Amino acid sequence: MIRVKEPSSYWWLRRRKYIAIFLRELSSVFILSYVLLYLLILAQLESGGRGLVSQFATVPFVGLSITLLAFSLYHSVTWFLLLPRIQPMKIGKVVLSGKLALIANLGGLVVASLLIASLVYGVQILSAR
Amino acid sequence: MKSKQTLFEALDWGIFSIGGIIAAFLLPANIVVTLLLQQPIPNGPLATLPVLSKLYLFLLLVGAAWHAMHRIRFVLYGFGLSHYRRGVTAASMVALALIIVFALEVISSL
Repeated sequence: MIRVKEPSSYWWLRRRKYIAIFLRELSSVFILSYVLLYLLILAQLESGGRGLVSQFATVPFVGLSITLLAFSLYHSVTWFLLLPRIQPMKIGKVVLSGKLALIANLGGLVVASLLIASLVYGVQILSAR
Repeated sequence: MKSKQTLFEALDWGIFSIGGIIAAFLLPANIVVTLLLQQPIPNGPLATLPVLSKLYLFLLLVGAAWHAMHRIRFVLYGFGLSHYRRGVTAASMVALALIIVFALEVISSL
């Protein structure tokens, strides 16, 4: 009978690379937290309450928002680094290198962000004079 | 039984991938606008077409939630819960279903 040794629950603490992978996985907790927080804010606004919105400018809430943003960006960038390995990006017959693919994806992130901010939320990106 | 499991896994991984793309490209901007710029209500040109605005919010929130829940499940396996795979999967799917129902309720009445 072959015995397979169970890996320790702390395997991810052994190397810096493993910690980076685990942080990426953990960033999902922050993504889910944002989804729930945003839904709660919308639900509260809808029922006329402003409990969470009135906290927006407080230091803990700004701190939480920045933490959520940092983990979300970490999740995005690590996804962009992973993408060329899963599905190499091609322009015609030329396969983009990992770095170029990362730059292209980051460009996509900037364009998508500007579009979302202006089209969905009405943020004035360029103020017309 | 096996084919049901295969179908579930195909659906799960498919929505996870789409949710990953949605989360990667759209979530950072949403966090900046809704929390840091304090504009949680969609109020741009897209809001003139409420159906599109609601569809955007639904796809964003449910896609990101599905993607995140999928990864959290694997984090739990990594923490040593791989012996309870079925239980963890069932619990995470119930939690996800509750989030989807909550999202539907909130977004539809916006």
